[in-house]
Amino acid sequence: MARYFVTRMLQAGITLWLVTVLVFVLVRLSGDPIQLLVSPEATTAEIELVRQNYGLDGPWLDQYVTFLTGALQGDFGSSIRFKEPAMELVLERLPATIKLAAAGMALTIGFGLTVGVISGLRPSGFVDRVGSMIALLGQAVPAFWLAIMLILVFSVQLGWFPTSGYGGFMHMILPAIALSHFSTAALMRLSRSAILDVTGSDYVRLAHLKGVHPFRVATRHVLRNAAIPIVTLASVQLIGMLNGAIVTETIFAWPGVGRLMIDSVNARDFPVIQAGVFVTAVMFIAGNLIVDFTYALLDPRIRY
Amino acid sequence: MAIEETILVPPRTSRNYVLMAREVFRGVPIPALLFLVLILVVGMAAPWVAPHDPRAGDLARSLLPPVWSAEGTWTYPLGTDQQGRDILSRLIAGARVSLLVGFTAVGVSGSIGLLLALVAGFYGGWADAVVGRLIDVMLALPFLLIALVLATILEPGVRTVIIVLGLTGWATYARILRGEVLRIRSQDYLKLARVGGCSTTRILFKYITPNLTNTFVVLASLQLGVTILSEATLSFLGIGVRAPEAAWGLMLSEGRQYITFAWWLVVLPGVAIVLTVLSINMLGDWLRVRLDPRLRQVG
Amino acid sequence: MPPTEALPAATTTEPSSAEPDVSVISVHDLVKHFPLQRGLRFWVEPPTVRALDGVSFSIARGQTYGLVGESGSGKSTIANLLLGLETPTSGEVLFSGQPVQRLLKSDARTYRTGVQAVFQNPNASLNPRMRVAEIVGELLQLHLKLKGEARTRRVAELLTLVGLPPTYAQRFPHEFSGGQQQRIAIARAISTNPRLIVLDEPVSALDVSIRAQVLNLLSDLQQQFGMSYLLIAHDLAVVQRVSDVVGVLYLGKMVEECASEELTENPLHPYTRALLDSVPIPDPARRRERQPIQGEIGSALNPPSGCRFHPRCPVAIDRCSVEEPPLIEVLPGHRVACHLVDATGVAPEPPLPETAEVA
Repeated sequence: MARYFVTRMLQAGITLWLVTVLVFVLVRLSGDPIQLLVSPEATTAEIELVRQNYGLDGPWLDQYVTFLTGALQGDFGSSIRFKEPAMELVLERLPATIKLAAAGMALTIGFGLTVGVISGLRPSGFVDRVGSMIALLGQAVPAFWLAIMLILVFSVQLGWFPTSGYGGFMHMILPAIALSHFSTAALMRLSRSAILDVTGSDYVRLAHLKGVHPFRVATRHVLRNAAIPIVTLASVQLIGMLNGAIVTETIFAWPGVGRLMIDSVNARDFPVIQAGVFVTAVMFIAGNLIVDFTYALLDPRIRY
Repeated sequence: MAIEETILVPPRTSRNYVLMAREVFRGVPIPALLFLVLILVVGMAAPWVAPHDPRAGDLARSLLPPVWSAEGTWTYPLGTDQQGRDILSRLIAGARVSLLVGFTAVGVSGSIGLLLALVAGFYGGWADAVVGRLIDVMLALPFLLIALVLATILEPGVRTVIIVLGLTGWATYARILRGEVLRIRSQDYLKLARVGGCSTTRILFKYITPNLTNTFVVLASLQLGVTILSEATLSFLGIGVRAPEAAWGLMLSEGRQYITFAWWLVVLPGVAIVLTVLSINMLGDWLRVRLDPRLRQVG
Repeated sequence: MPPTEALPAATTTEPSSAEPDVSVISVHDLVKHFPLQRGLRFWVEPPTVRALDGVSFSIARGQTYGLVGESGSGKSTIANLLLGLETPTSGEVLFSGQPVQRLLKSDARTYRTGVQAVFQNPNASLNPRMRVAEIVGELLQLHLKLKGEARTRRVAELLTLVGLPPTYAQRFPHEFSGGQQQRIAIARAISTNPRLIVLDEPVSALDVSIRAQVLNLLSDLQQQFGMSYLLIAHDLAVVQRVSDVVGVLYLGKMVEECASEELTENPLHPYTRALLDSVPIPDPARRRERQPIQGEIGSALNPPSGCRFHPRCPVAIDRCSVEEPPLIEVLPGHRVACHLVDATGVAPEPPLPETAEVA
């Protein structure tokens, strides 16, 4: 068992490191931020000076070593655009994104899981048929279009919600829907089929035959065993939402990490991009680790 | 020595071929199939089918509503956009782009994923560990960011979109197909192939890969919808095809500012996307049920 | 069944005249240990699963050798070793006098055409993506270089031999029943006229009514072509009926080996006797006193000291837990590994049922 933990941690570490390398290389391939900063008449010498200032001179390997040593101490350099520490910029905006993702997750679990479970327990029932249609549609709709449509209908036409901006519940609900619709649909379908799988299995049928009350069968036997694949997908979706936030935050002008990232890519603000990707990658990888460990703890078959 | 009952094997007459075909296509969602066929045909024949040139606009007739509205005309059945270009023609041209990108990108990422899955599953050990880390890295990276960065490196256009989608989408294939390879390797017929002295090449090409096709086809059909959605998103963000070409996502981003008085600029391309992806997903579901019930857990 | 012409001879060579060994395949002190995964303390040697700990036997031409044992006895490991799918930790497998490992490197074709296999699950034994003709004809194409018309004819011959109409050659495996699939597997196995076929539980997955048919088919084929069989099974009844010689395995060692009839009439090792006791006998007049085996087979990770059977043995004495009994020939053609079987070949009598401990 300990062996499993150690191995997975090592793998996670390697993955994280590879992520930093890949991002480092990619952003540098994508262009030169210095060109965007200096005026067109600057001389080569002046450009070199600016470049040195930002630490973007010299071979990439040196740059990477500097970056890595800094990163291990939490220093991800300074943003080229704002001259503030890159990591601080990211961490400032992180709570907003997490708020949104949490709201989306609440919708996914509250709506998707519930409908999915009910559909699974009562297949071909009303909830199942309506829910399946919604799920099918939900996976066919692009997030940005849904966002625009939601704004059009609920903000512009009906005036129920504000069209954009940061705030409390009223400001959050539309973006949360746009952010989570895909995962809600996916979770709906997955929990439905997980429940169906389990209900069809022998030990559940045996419980029914023994005369156990259907509710008890549902909770003690069905849900507990269907929980594992459901938990896995739910956590994966949560992390996926952190990534999906990019488009939603842009359309709703939500001041989160996603918006910061897009602007940084356009401005070629390397340090911020590196810091932002690092943070999301850490959350993603850590999230997966937690899921795997929970899995190993929950499912006795997996331990070795 | 008595030969046991001849079961299961009906003779192959032409009438039986019809029955077999019916059996093969049993339960297929007809509306989805018809819509998809329509889109495919229209998309492939786009240059000849579109009533107007999707790139040329008549500014005098810009922002006309669809034909069922008060000021609509049959000349422009779905209205015109801000530059006077016919929406219907642009939708048709966009269909071509989406389908082209979708199928090609799926082909590219599917091939990469298949190759890596074979290497990881067949050779195991270090190869498996390395491929596993690559997959993890791919999944940990935010797709859109990588796509944006890649798009600034490469020239804008359809080819770039295909490359970007192809290079970022292979992880799902690799992960699932690797599991399949391991499952196939545990089967007795693989053992017998080795006992029979089959070479590694032969085992890879005649034993493992052919038995992957079912899973691969189902996976590809499931990913096709996702790929088209991603393509639309990239076009929306301005990375895909550029003006004056037509792509559904691009139409959406261009029309966004006129939305309050020209809703059709935004709603119609969105509906096109939704219907296409919906049909693909429905067919994919049907395929999955027919070919490989084990994949039910995937999304 | 009408006699068919003999299959063309395989390309194997006869053993050289200097070698008096008439056995098709022989196994000498075969040992196979599987190391477990290293734990966190990777400087320590991991424990090993001692699947086989010194097994020796040989199979003569045209002979059917039955190998019996519980799961965990090592019989599947022997099959893998004989088929060249694994390499022994120590000891040798000789095919027609030549070490198999060397043969696989220098002349793999001889070995691959000379030794074939049929496995337990007929559905899993056939590549679902290959047609029957391809499956049965694969070895002909690979090793005997038969192509086109000639190969099609041979495939048709082979299908007829196993009792299937040649018109089925273009079908896929899933279109057949289990018994038919096993026949296809057999057709493929005999296609190169092998000297030895390893049969690993060939009928356990088949319906009882089909089993006899397949066993008869195997027996007929053996009479026609003079192949040897290594029949691995856990069902003693099947093994007894079909085999000439039977070897009994327990926890990686052979505990008894004798002719099939001898096994029924005069089993010597306590384990063998217990196994026989567990075979139901329909005739009440012939029923023996039942002596069910106590306990479960030990662990191959940590086998019992001395004689491996001693914890479950009804007649074990002190010596049995200390010293491993060697496999010696106490009667002509009859080897046993038990301290209590004296040199005259008399089996130890178990205590009366009342005094035997209940598990």
